[in-house]
Amino acid sequence: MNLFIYDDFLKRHTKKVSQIEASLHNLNLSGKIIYLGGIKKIDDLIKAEISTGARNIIAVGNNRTISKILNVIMTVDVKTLNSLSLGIIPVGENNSIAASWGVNSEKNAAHIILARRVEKLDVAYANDDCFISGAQIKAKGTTLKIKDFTIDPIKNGQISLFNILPQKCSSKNISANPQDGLLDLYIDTGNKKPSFFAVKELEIETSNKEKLILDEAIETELPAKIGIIGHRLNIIVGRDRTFNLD
Amino acid sequence: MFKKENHPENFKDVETIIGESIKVKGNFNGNGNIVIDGLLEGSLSTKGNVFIGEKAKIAGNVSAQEIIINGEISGNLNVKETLSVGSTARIYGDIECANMSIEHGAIFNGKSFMGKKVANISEKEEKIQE
Repeated sequence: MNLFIYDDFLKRHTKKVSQIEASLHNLNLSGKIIYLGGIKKIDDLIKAEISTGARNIIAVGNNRTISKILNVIMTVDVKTLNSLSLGIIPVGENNSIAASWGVNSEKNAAHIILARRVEKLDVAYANDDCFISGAQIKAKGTTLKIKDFTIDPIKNGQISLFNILPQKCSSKNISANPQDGLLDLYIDTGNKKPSFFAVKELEIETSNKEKLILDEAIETELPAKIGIIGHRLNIIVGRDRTFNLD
Repeated sequence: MFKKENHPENFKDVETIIGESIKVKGNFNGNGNIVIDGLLEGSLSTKGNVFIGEKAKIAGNVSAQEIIINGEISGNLNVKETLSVGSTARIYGDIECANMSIEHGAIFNGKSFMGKKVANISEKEEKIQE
């Protein structure tokens, strides 16, 4: 059974929502619809739908919508989680995650959901929050602890942890594989080559008030313990999207 | 004359890059090829190769299959195969390797132990002491 979860910001996109609903209807893609506007306890609501048989969870919105849903479905038991698939119909700005799944517009999203090509991807966490694409923080003042060593950037720049690479980074000669059980840590301080480490676990501390931004959607307080769970979540991806680059 | 050999592009599939503007403290163990252009305070050991760039500064020991060094190290280099020392390299420590090339202008203050039989000389010395 499909469960379509419409984010509350879609109130500003009524025309697009109508088009999406028409596309879904034309493709005979039916299912229950939840509108997040005004709902405070989305956890209980989504879990209740899963317990009554919802298996394809379709986020209608952007990165923030995926983040909200991801952080609910990652709390269900592993057996149930293995039976779920998460898809996206992107609407508006801030849709880098959808693009990284090979879903570039709301127009092709309905066809992708119908085709239901599923890839099992790694899911990362920072303290109690999950993320699937990546995490960012300013470099200066941040310390990274990995196993027996620490890393201190000595110039301003950006620290990025990638599980899946956003399209905008694809031209920077960097890569990330969301099926290798590793997070790709890049520290870009404006030099020709960014620093690079492949890590399973790390801790991030800061000497200032910076927060870690997860999936370009939510903020996590520091210090934070970061890690990755291999092959954890089924994702509905575009027809030509491949992740394993080896 | 060794410019081509002293280039990191000889290292395919780089596992780790310690870039120019970061400082790494502690003991780093890897399995693949590593490029160091920044600061490292501590030891580094890998089953792959290590490229040490011109701006790199290392205070600690480095061991690897092959090492190309163009930067500065205050510590020992333990190389299973070939050590290539570029003209800008400054080595303040001992070297153990099977093969070595040194470019004109490099600075090396320390002892060197060469040849395949002496590549693990420190291990042998430890065994004798035991």
